[in-house]
Amino acid sequence: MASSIEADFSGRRFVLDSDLALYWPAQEALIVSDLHLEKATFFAQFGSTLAPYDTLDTLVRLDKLVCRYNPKTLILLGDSFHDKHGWARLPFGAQHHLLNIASAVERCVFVEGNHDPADAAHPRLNYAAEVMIDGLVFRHEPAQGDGLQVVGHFHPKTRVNVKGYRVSGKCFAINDSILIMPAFGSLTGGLDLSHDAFAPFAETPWRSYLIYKSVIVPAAR
Amino acid sequence: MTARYFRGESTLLTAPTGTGKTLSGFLPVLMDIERARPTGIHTLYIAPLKALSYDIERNVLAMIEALDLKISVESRTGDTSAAQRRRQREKPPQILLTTPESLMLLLSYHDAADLFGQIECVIVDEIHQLAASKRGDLVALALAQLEAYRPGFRRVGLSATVSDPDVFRAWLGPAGAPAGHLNAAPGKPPAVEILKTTAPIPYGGFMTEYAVPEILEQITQHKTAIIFVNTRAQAEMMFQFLWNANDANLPIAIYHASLTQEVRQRAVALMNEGGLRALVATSALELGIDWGDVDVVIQVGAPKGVSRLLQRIGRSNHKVNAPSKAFLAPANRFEVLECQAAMKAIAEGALDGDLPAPGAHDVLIQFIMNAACSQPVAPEALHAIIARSWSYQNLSYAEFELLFRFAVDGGYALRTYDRWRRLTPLHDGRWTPISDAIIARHRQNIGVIIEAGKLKVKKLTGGRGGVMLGELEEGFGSALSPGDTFYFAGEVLAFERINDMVLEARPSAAKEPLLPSYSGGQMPLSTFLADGVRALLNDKGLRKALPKPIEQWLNLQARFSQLPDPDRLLVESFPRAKLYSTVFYTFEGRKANQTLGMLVSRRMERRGLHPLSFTVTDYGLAITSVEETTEEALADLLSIDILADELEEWLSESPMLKRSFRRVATIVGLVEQQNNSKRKSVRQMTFSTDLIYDVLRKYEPDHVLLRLTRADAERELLDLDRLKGMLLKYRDRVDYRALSKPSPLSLPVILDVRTERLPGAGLEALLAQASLEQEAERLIEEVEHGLVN
Repeated sequence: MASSIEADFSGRRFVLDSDLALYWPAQEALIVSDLHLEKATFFAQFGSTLAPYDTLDTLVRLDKLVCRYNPKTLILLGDSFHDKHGWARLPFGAQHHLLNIASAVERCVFVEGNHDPADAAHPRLNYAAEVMIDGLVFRHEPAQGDGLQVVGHFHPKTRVNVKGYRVSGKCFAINDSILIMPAFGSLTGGLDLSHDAFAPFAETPWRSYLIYKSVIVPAAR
Repeated sequence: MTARYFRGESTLLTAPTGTGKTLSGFLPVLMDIERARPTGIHTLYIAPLKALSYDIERNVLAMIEALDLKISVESRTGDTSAAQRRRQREKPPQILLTTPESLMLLLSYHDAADLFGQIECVIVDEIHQLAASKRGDLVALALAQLEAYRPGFRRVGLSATVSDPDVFRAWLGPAGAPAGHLNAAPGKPPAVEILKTTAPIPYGGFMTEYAVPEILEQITQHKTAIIFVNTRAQAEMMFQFLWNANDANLPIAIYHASLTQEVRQRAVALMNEGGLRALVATSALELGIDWGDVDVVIQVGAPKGVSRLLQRIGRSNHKVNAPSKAFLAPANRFEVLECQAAMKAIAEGALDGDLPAPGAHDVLIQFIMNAACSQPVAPEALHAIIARSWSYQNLSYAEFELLFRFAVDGGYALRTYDRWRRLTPLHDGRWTPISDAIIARHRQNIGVIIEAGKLKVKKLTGGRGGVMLGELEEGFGSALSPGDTFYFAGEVLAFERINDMVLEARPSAAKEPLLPSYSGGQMPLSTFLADGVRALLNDKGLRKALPKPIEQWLNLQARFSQLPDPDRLLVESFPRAKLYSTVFYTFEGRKANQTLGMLVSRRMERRGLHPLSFTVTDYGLAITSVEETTEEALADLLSIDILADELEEWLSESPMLKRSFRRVATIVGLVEQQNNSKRKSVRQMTFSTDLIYDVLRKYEPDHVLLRLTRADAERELLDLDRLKGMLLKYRDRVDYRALSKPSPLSLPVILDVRTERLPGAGLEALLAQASLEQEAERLIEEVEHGLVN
């Protein structure tokens, strides 16, 4: 069902998957971002009765991706949990599931996010502030003017017009120095690429790749 | 009325506008209060609009003053100040005027039983507007709760236009004890005619610009005119048209629900002082009592319903013995037929309008929380209370228990400890909210009107200072770029920025401003009128009575294709803009057509015809697809089994169901509509209820919320019974016409800009195709580039 498209970032070849993941064939690395696990239970604390299946759904989708690409390295690019008590709220089965996924690859790194600082995480999860591979820095929030970066954090979305029909969805946003990942979590929303928040990093124009159901297409803007 | 009151009876009072209905409702109440001098709330008055309760307050106070009585009357609405609310609870007025939402809030307080323990009478005004909606369900539940606090109080329903009094009588009274009915003699039938214009009536469109000279002419000839339109967008547009043509500088104002209260009150005050010659208004002005010396009403656009039209016409000339005067200005040719059918119905004294239905379960979940916020509740006792309302009398305890469980903890099969718990059991089997935060959250979210996201509109006058004009939908507002201009509150504004949910704009003189869009602004055509239109088409005699251009248009249709036969379904197919259109002339009303559109397009998708969008009107349905619909395919598309095969599949994925889910999720408290501490953009919220819906459907398809979502869709959107009847009736009775061009009759349908896009495989295919085209263009460019070098 899923489809993918190849894209160039900083002269390196990447595969953008409509299942909201980035694959780097040269390094056999799979990257996903912003899982926001246990977002529903976070809101339940305040009296909302959100459906409790978001974590299960997110983990099942991640598991399938890992099986499909069979990567050596798996990077979760920050905000893997919706808040710092996320791990503690994970049902036992889900904790087990997550640890299983992490141990199915040679190296699995949880990059710190603004929602899930490393000091609050479980010691069995391999947390790091950032990861450097072949000249690229993988971190959650971008640092301005700091080399080539792959980041998450923003949950980018975009729109395209096809024959008068407007389609909107999550997207990858890429320019000469930065690649922004779409959010992976099942209850994650999005921010339009035209929003001011993206402006400081748009030194060169964005190339964006829109995901709509099982299709991923370049969205010229 | 007075005799009935003192016998302790409940009454549905129906009487034409301007006959003193409200007075008759209140008079016995005033007499009773004067006699008994109660210290608490004696009479509760419930109106669908805040503005109406202020109106009534003014009028009742005037009556009290004229009769020299000492009776306290106060309004309690969302606008009532905190200080006044506190005072009202400590020292309640004898007559309290309120809305369904504010009443629910009062019922959620700990002392509700004391506050309402002395109620003698509840008056429900404009009952025809309230009862047949989820707000009506709120009122029904409130009445049931009041019945528990003070058994046997009187119930009075007021309305000018009720099509089936028996249903409303049953709804009003406690279950099994319908209210009595008192029907005042009808006034003179109104004088209604179609406005004659020099310009021909257009084929499609909704703006009615062609009639502007004649509308202005009528304004000039009368003291005060109300120009009724059907949507807020039409109000803005019509106001601009009139303003631009208003060479005599007649004072004209605009009135619709998205303007601030100050702007609206100013317009009404001017009107009452006789300072206005015309007011362009939406249904926001339909209800209420005194609007100055209005001597003509002009309905712009189709009337959509006989009762609604009568209500509007009743705004003019509030005198019993003179007929109201009204003109109809249809926007396009189909609407002429509709106007003609409405005039025929008025002449025959027929009425239409929605009837109350069994109560919605999502509203009941909200009510369960509401009751628990007031005092701990036992499910059995609460079920006994709600079963005393007509709306919920048939709800079994088993079903009620499921809803109760949702209120307790969401009722999910997968539950982790008590994380979802909102109510907690006491030792005696009653349940109470686990925290004050839960109570506060509930109170902030009372109500069943789910609005599209709104941005306040501020007209900048100096630097960043300015005046608030009203609200725009977020979807429209957030798509604006600085410098874009748009119509609002009768002005042209240039967008500057959005700051903290306030859209800031400056007056502008731009020539072609945008017209704001408002979702849900469309009124459904009553099925009664749709039938009237169909009858008109098939009656040669009636057709001859139509305006000449309309008759010619129909004759042209008969020559080019054919007129719809009363016992057969006409379907036309033709190419249009590199795509294909298929038009079905069903005359089954918007709801049924919408459902048919969804189901048929689904089957088209299955057959590889790639449907992209469809347009629904009350008369027909047009589907746009990548491939052509053939006659052979058509039999399959209209087969009765689409109700089985496609329905389930479509229902679960349809964006309409997602909208229903959003409504239901908000009403039951799954997500919040308002939260003062964190203002969340509704667009973000919409997105997340869609996600919750997808996840829930995947992992717990039998969950109670999904059943409620489906019930909501059936109630608000579907009309499955009507559709089934239609499919059976027209089986093997389809007239298929493959045409080279759009037919005359199809124009009003295909020119309708309000299309429903299909987020299905058609769009996916189109996207894939488009990206292939881009790819191909890129490859060609590369080849060309290569050849040049």
